[in-house]
Amino acid sequence: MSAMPSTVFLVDDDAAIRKALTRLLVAAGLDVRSFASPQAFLERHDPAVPGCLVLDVAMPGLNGLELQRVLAESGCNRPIIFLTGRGDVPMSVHAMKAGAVDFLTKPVADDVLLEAIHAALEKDRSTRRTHTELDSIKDRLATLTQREREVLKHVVSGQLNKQIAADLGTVEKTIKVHRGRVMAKMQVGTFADLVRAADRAGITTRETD
Amino acid sequence: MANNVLSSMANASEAVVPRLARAVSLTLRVLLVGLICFLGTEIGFAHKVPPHNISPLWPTVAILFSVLVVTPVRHWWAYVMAGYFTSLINDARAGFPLPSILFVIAGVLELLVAAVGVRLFAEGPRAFLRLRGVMVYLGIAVILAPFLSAFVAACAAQPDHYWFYWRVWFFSEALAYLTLAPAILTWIALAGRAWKPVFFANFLEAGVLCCGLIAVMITVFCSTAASDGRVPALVYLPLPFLLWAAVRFGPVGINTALLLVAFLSISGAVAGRGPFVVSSPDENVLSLQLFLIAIAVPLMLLAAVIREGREKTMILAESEARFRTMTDGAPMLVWMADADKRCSYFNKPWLEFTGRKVEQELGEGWAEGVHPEDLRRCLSTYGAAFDARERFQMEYRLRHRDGTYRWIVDCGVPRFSEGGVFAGYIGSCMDIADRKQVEEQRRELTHLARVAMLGEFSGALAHELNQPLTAILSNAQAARRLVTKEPPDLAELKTILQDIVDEDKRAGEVLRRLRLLLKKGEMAFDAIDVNQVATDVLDLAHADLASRCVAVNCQLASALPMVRGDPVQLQQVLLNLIGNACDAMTATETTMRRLTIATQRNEDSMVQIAVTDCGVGIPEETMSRLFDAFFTTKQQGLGLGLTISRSIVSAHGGRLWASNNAGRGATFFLALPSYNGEPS
Repeated sequence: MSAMPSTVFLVDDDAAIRKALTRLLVAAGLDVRSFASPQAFLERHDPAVPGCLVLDVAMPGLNGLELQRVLAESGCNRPIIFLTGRGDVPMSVHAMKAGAVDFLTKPVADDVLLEAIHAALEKDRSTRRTHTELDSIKDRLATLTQREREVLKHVVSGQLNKQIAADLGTVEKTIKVHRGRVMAKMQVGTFADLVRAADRAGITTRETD
Repeated sequence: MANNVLSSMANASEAVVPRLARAVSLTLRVLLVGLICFLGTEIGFAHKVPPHNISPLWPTVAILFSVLVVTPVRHWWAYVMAGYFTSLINDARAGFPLPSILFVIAGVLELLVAAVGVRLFAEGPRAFLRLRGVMVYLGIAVILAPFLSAFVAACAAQPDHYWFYWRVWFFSEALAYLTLAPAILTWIALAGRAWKPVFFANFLEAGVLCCGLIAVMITVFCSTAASDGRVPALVYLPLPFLLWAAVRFGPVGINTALLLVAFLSISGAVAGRGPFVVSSPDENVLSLQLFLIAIAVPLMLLAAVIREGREKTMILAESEARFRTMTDGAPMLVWMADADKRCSYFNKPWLEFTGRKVEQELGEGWAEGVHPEDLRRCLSTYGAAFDARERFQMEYRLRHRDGTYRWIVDCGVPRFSEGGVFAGYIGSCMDIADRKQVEEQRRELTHLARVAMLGEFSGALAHELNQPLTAILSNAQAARRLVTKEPPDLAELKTILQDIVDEDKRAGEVLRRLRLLLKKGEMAFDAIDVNQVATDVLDLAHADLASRCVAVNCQLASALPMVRGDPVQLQQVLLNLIGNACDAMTATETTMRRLTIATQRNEDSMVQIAVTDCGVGIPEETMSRLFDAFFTTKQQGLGLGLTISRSIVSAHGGRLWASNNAGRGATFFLALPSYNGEPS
């Protein structure tokens, strides 16, 4: 995957803070896009763009926590950093449990903020990477034939070729051929890698798909 | 029914007895008058001056006239009949000769004209107490009545003596009205009034006067005359005594004295003595009559004038005494100043209050007791009002005799003498120390309520301060990074610094508003824009409203008239209403929470602010107790917010009330009188 530059999405209803934070982050070398309200952010949101979200908690209309919920429901895993004017413990616990990366109080020092942002961007990149990998595994799985898929299932459950042949009603030689084709299609070198890939794809037990 | 008949019978029988008594007394009085008139006629006859037997003074008609003036009109016929009874008998015996009939008719005519005239225009028997009364009496009874009746009476004479008899009748009747009737009437009037205690000295003086007058009269008028054909100068000797009577004893004195003079001089003339016997009998009578008229008229007028003057003085003295009693007895402090601004009078309560002597306070001494902080304002208000000749009211502290200063309210009004001449000021002061204390307590309470309310908003206020601080920090830290770049972007840095300054001001503004609200000041009334107040309040409450997820709808009318009030206190009221509205909506779903602030101009030109929520509304049973002190439906809170809000609004001359909406929730209305910019 080509690495798109990560963007920091900033949502705060106070114009002065938006301007100041944008300046700070730009001076630190980041790419920033700011929005005055969660609705404005949602309208323009493209989940494919890598980056993290810096959110003010207390905003009229949809507030920060609710935006977090909306994004989670829509399946977007973009890391969120919360900024708040109050040091509210219950709120911060709630936010962290819902998956926020960090919960910072205003006024926020630049090093603290940047550290959190870098952590968030890193998390975002790794998530994307994982996602991308998973996608490619799934793509490869899709290229397997019905028979090959069956063989894969039996293989990763640890059965010997002989046993697999007996289960599937064919000879060992055929199984060996299928196995080789699966390894090639799945682009793995070792059996352990195949198991891992299958694991990642969610194929763990001998079930009918 | 039987009761009514019985009671009316009882009333009738009750009324019969006094009616009977009245009839009896009337009859007696009529008989008495008849007797007196008979005597008068006899005396008149006895005093006819030979040879024409002219009577210088005819008593009967004057007596009857006096009676008619003081009795009710419906009884007049009885008195007239009684008065003329004997003459009518005599006339009947003589077969009703025409002259007698004419005299009777003339007499009755004269009586009626004089009596009716004096009753209508000169207050009856009290005529002699006033100058105007005396003049009317002279005009109607002395001149007009005899004048008219003389025309009738003279018809009894032979045609060629008509004018002679006219003159005789006129003068003798006129003299009777001038000397006899006034005496009778004044004594009747005196008997009618309450007797003042007569001092022995007065009595003695009257006695001396009488004796002196009689002695003089007898000497001059009743002794044998000199026969040199001239009226001696001694004839004026009675004058000093008459003057004495007029000045010292008023109308009573002069009328009585004149009667004496008339009686004695006429007696003397009839007996052929005195100064009026030097010429022909007709001339004598005429001179005597003229003499008596000449001294009677001016002296009667003089007596009336003196009497009026005395009465005025008495009324003035009484008024003065009343004033003093009132000012010394009232609980107010009263002062008076002359036209030169210097004070000339302080009542007893004032002197007791300050514990000073009146000499110390007179002039400008009173100002020493005024509290030094109030002195300048006090003197300038006083001076300005004085120069404008307007009433004023001011409050200041005056030193009490125990050394402390107490607040008093001083109201002064200008006074003008007759003719509109400015005569100074009169003022009264009340001790308002208690009222001031209550006001101070109320101010304290309002302040405490405001501070407590701001405490509820404190979280939001902290947030308000936090925003600019955050912006400033991030800007500064951004600038720090940019400064290290090579080359530094000076334009960007300049913008950043400007933003920092702006944000600092923003924070300062929040703090300034907060400080204003926390200050415990006096109410500072000024012309304010209600829309501005509403906007400021919404700014202040903005963060709190946001954190409670309350959406605000602002409907501010344009071109609203200004209102006269204290912006801080009005903000307090609005904050209270907004806080209550938010509390009412805690049970409402967050997306449905809506607060509406609307300003408008009412039909009666009041400016109205409405705070509407969509919460739980106000239950009917609590509606009437909403503004009561210590009434609250909340878990926390004293229940004073609305009470204080209402008292603030009342102090602004406005109204605060609530009503439930047609749909959900309630609305609180605040109406304030508009202010057109003129000083109140």
